[in-house]
Amino acid sequence: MLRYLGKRFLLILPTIFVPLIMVFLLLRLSPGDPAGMMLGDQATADQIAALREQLGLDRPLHVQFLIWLKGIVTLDLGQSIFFREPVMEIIPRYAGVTILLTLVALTLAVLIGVAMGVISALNRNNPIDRGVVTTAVLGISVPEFWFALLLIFLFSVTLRWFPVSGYTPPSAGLIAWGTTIFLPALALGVRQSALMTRMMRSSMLDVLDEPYITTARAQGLPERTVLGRYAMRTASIPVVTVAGLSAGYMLGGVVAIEIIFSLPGLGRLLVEAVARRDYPVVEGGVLTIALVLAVLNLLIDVLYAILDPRIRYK
Amino acid sequence: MTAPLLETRALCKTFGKVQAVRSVDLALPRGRTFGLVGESGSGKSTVARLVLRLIEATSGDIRFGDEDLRRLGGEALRRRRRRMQMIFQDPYGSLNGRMTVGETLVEPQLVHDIGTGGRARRDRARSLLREVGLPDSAMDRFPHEFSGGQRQRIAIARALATDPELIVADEPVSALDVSVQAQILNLLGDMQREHQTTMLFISHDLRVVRYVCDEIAVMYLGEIVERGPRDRVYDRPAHPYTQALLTSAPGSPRKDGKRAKLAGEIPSADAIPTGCAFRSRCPHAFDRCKIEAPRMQDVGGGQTAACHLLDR
Repeated sequence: MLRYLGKRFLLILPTIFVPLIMVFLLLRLSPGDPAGMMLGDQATADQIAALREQLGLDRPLHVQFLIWLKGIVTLDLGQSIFFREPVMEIIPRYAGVTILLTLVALTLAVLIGVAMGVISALNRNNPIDRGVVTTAVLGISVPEFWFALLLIFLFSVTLRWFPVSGYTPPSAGLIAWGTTIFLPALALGVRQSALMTRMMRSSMLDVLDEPYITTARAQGLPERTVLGRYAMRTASIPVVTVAGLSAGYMLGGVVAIEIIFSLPGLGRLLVEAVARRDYPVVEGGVLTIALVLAVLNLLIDVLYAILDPRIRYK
Repeated sequence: MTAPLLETRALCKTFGKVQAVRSVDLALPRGRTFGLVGESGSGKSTVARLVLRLIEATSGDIRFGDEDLRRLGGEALRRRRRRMQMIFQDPYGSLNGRMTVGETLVEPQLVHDIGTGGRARRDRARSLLREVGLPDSAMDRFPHEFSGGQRQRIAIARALATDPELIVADEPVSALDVSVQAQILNLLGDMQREHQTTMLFISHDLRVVRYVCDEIAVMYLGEIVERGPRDRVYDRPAHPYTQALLTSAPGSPRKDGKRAKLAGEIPSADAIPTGCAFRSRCPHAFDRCKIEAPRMQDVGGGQTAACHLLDR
């Protein structure tokens, strides 16, 4: 088990490193210059050049990259060009919302997906199954931002159960936090939950046809053990795989959701930072997202090992 | 003779238009091995699942001991399963690949409240393993680490874990290499003698059935066409189908220098011929076979068969 985890852990490094290089290059190859942005239209060429030098932007690309890498290792992500304070202080203020939002959305998606998939599989081809499958197809087809607007319209504007927008941190009360995070998480998770429903349904149907399920029943195992311990445990492995992909997808989709619900999250911060050519913030933000994704995927690998003990011993 | 352990009367199963099992009467004497033979599609595996109530019969009776098995519901049936276990054909699929062999052997004890405490159950699992010829170290390994024959040993150990009175073995060796088949058959034979288990042994392989079974029933298209003590059936088959099966088996003696051929394939179970179901492939079929289904009749020595030729 430890060896397996160690191996998975080492694999995190490229997962983080590759997106970093890409973001670094993309930013510097795209038009626009932070020094120009900061000084405005009136700045002279000399002033711009001076600021560029101060920010280190006049150095060759690979030197800039190495300086930045060194910064990461020493936990110094540089100064935000826009906020004029260390990136290491800005990111945590925004990252919490995004991480929590993604986790809640992922949890909702898995819970809904697994439950619906199992219900559907156990009612194979009867109206309940058809209803679930049809809903899932709808769910997959609906874009998140539109679903988010529908949710706001129904639950916030018409029923007034949840606030329209804004965010309360969990430190200000779990219930208050829950009411601000539930709708965004649902909007972010609905599509993934639809995917998981279909995945869970089909893998559950496959597993239920396995001879060892018949054997388990023949042995006199209670039906709930047969379904829970035997069938669902095996059937949920593909869903866990999907959950890993979903996490990545959600960290991307979070941008639109944060904007719609006015959540002070990393997604929104990133979009704004790109517009401001605030390189250090963009890089720091991407690093954070890559880290979150890597940690989530590590958790998923652990989950695999729990669900399928054979993996532990390989 | 004591009362049979398992008895079916007029057992029928239809799947839509398909008549998989048509009025099957079986009686399994206690402590003996009863063979059910037939080609694939004859309905023998369906019978296996019916008598264990893994699928529900369309009609007919199943008596297990002095109980009407078809009347048992939910929890009572689940508890009754302790006394009847099954060994399946596929030793790869019938074991849960995500459980260690130890867990697989402890589980049935756990659900049927056999033994007290994990230690006692694990000890029993180890002794079951030894009994089927596997080392203690197998406990913490997973099924995929074993060969087909070894897995079938595990499946046998699992079936024995609840000390069942009846074991239904559905083609237990047909997925195995011939070299391994004999070992598993011997093991099954030893187990059966030692634990005084009654066994319903289902196979398409006549040599295998002859090796392990005391009594034999031959199935064709969902019906039993001949039944009797092993040596009677093998030495003096009364039904043309049994005769054809025996002579077409590889290694069987050729009469008149050639084999009685079983022409064509078994007909589909949703288009069963009128009269005698076997007439479309029977070398002796005559007019009466088209109109009237033959009844089982006694041919002596405890042997019965269903064929109009026996009236002549």
